[in-house]
Amino acid sequence: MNQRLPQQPGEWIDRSRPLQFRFEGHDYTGFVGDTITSALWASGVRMLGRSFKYHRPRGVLSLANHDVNNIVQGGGATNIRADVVPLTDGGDFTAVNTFGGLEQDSARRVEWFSKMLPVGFYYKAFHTPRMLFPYYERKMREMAGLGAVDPKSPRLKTPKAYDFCDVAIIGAGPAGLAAAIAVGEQGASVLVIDENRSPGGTLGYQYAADASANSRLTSLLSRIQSMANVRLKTSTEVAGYYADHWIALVDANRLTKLRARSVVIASGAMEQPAVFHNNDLPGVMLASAAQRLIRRFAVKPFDRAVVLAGNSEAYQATLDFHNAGVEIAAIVDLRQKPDSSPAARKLAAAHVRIYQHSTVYCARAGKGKTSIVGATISQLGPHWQPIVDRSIDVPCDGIAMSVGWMPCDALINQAGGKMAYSDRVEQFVPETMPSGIFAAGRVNGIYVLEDQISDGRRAGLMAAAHIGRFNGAIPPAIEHQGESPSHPFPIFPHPKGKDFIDFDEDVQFNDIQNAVQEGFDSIELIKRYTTLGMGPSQGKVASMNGVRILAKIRGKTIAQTGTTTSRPFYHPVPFAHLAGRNFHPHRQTAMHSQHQQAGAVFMPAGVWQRPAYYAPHGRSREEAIHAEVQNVRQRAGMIDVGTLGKFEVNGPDAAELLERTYTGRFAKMKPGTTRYLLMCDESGVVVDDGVAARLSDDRFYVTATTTGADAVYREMQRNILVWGLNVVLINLTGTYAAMNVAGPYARSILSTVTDIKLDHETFPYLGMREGIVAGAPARLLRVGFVGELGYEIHVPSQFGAHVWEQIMQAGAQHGILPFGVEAQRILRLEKGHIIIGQDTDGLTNPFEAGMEWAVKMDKPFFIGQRSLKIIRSKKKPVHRVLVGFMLPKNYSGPAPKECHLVIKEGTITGRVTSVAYSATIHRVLGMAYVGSDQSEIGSRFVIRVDGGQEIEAEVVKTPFYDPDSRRQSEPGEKPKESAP
Amino acid sequence: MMTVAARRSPLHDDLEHLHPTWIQIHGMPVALHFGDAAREAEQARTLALCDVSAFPRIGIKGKGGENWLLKHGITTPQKIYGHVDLASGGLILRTGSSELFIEGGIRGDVVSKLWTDADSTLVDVYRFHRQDAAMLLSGERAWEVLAETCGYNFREPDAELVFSRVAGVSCCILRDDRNGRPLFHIWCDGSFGSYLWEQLHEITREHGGNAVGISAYYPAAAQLSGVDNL
Repeated sequence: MNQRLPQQPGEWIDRSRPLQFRFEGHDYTGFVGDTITSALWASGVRMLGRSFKYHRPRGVLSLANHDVNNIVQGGGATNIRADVVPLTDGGDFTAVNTFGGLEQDSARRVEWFSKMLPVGFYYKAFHTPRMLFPYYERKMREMAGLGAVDPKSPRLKTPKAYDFCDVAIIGAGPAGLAAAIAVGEQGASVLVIDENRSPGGTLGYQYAADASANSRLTSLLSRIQSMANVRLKTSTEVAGYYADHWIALVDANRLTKLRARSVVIASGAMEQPAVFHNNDLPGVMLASAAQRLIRRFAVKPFDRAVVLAGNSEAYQATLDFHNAGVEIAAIVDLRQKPDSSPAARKLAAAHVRIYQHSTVYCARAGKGKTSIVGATISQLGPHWQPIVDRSIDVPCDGIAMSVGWMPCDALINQAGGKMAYSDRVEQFVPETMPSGIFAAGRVNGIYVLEDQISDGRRAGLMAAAHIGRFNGAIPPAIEHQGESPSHPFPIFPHPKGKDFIDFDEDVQFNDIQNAVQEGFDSIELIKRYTTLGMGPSQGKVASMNGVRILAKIRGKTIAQTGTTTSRPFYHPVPFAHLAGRNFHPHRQTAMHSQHQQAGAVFMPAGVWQRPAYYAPHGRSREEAIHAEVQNVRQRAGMIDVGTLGKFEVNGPDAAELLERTYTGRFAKMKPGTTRYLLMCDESGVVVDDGVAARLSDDRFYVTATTTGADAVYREMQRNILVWGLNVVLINLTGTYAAMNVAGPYARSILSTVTDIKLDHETFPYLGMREGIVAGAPARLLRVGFVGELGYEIHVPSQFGAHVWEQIMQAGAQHGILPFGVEAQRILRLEKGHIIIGQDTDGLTNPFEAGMEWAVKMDKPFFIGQRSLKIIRSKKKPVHRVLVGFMLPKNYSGPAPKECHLVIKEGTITGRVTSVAYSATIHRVLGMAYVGSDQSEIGSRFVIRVDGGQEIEAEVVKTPFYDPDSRRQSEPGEKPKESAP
Repeated sequence: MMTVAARRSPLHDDLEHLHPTWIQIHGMPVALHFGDAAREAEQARTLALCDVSAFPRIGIKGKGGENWLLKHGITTPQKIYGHVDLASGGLILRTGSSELFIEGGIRGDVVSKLWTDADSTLVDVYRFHRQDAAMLLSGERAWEVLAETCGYNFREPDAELVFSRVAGVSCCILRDDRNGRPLFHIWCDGSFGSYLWEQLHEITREHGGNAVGISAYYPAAAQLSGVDNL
């Protein structure tokens, strides 16, 4: 049945552009400009969805995204709000949350058992027996939820954006447009945001029959269009308000982060339903929804209507229905006094039947409850209670509810504003507003059109004044005059229930009663126990009635009862919008391309990408790693260590900074030498390590771990200020590329690309030299993390690729190969060198890690010294010790892994921190924390491996390889400190 | 045995995929153009992205930096985050009360002069390498790219050098309109360069722009160095 009306002034549809679509397997036609719901309603479809809990048929309620009666999925998208989402050609939609389709939904039988499913039934029913928990969970998950996510949906591009303006105006109704003009006239940049496709708000549907209102809208819009500094953004929701006027805007494609200097909230009000039996069935809708159908989409909402009135606006709505060809069966007015508005007079002249001081007691359901066939009208008693034996039945296919409003005050609440209940308008109105935020229009309790425009202008001028654009007189505040636009209690419970308060969650009147009886007697508890307002529409057409009912039951005022907390988002926001482009910055070293060409398999190290190993020609991971290890031990390898933190510490107090920051001694270091660095925090926990190279008396070059670099830089920068040191700290982490050439041929290879003298006497172990390498200015550090003769070469990063290539070329004759992080881990493990963060954790002190040699307790001060003194004085004895261990020769059982536990007599005493098979030693070796009584060399301890099996390991002395460190420091030379 | 070290832009591989015509500037391969140079010059007026990492740079810290530069005939901006065009081409920017950053530009040799100043009496002057990835984002639609990547309002009338995140990367951004058209210098740590280029290039393309060679901004660039098919 086609319900499309003749052309309406200002209609949103384009009748010249029809669209074909499917819904629940049936073909329909709509127009460009239709929403899915309006096109279906125009096609005579009444049942558009099913309710969440009882699977009751549902139709149009608000047609304004204030309810979720009509949620569909299709085209890879789910939970599409059919009331407001534009219809697309070829769309194929189905209702969500049905089992077997909308009409044959087998879950509709749940309603038969509704008496057994009171609010909170799951708390009471599903707690025993425990063994059935998985069954309960599975069943509840099957029944609950809305649409089903299609994992095959293509990824949508939903880039986020930033926007800025002087004043943001939220709502393009009469108050918002007036505010925009007022601010715009002061020269400020203005952004007006409205969730509707076209601006105008109520001017476009509630006042649309009024010619003067139409011309007012035209005049407001043309004024705005003439102002270059005023932008209008429609089809955009304001999803949330955050600090400092940071506003989240959501449109079909993106989330925009808007920063304004001031904000006018002219977000209007949401019409509220009345509560009566079957108030949820298709055909029962808000009067404003029916007006939207008529004015925006030229759709006849019903053929024969009963209008439930609680205010004068009901009469204007009724007149609109009458003019659209709807037969008015009756107006049922809750009020005692007849309405005296011009619309009421016109309706009286048209002989429309009005039942004064009466209510719709129930909607009579049609077959299958997919429509209504009539309304039972009851006269009201002195306390607004229905007198049921004075009821009559009136046939109709629609009931329009016009009983009151609730302000769209979510953003005011999110911004920290306070709302207070006003008896004058029977709604919450702003009591105090945060600085820079101003309310106007219906959200401010102003309902007369001219007053809304004046109120908007006033708010606009206040916003302009706030940002220093206006210093004239602000017009006085306006107050609503006359009868309240909202009825104080349009709620008429029915003995059979199905008198719904929350349409999302199927919460009925007696659910509130029961919750209060069970002790959940505050509005926040009611919300959580009954789920009132917890559905996708977040109580937009539910919470106010919930508050009214709770106040009535408890004998409190609305003000005493209060409201629930409003949090972002105002409407649900798609995850894709929140994800945006998904920026995940990562860093590449200067030699990234060379690694790629060499077949590197990359791994993340913090935000860096590092070669884990090189697997050319399909070599397996294990083969590749062991080949790299052997090549370093037997010939030469080169590893990219450009990810290390690198800093220059300059100034007269440079050495003093290092003395205080690190545990070692640096003041007497000679230029041209390096020294190991160990950093603790104030509790004595090891947090970083590295190498300091002294460039000159007042200049050090310092390295830090890859992942600790940023924190070390921040800490040093902070301490320079706190300690008042004359130090200039420069972060060169990304500025320098670095590579380590290691192995027996390292010197031979390097000597072909540099003039720096590399012989042992001129450039000894732990030395540092500056010079030219492969034509680039370089700093060379002779260190030995992997236990071989090695040189760390640091060059400005733009030379990194060139120097790498030159060294690889020069080393080809010696068999140089690149090696990755995995090989380095084995090489350093063979040497017993620890990795901070792997062999230490958030509690490790240097004594536990066997690094006492690096801690100079007799220094005047270093960070963590006081804590370490306490630990050392045995007030806090060391309970665990890091030891080296080996598994027996030819061990073939399950391999221990990092973090496997060390067990002693059923108690955890430690864990494995590093473990690997060493092809050099031919043993599985590793490091582990063990109890201090388990650390004696030669003793054995138990590791619990995967599957719970326990294996035995022997404590051995480290280094496992080259215990005298001859290979890295050359025969005959032993470093004073056994530093890497 | 010893070679002269070749510099390489952090964005070199990203540009190579676009098959540019390379030239050498300041010892670094630079994309002169990717096809039609005239079209790229036009593109630069609407929306374009260009790698200018080849320009030499130097960072200077310390309280003596300002006087030292004055000896070299370089006047420093007084305002923090202010900038001044160098007479020899390029820019000098003040990034802190005693922190300065000089970008030598396409012709300028000021940076090499400052590096080679061997004055051993320098006090409180600390020179350091700047190995930034440097890009130019230009054109009327450059706003749209920045709107999707950066939370700073570059339309603010007093916007100068800004430290902010672009596509999640910490950057220095300088609005430096030329001929009434928006032009933004973007500098970031070179290790983030490839990532940032990838993001900005993709977004630029989505908004109808594209990568352009250096000739789009410096038509005489080809004369600085012979065209070289590297």
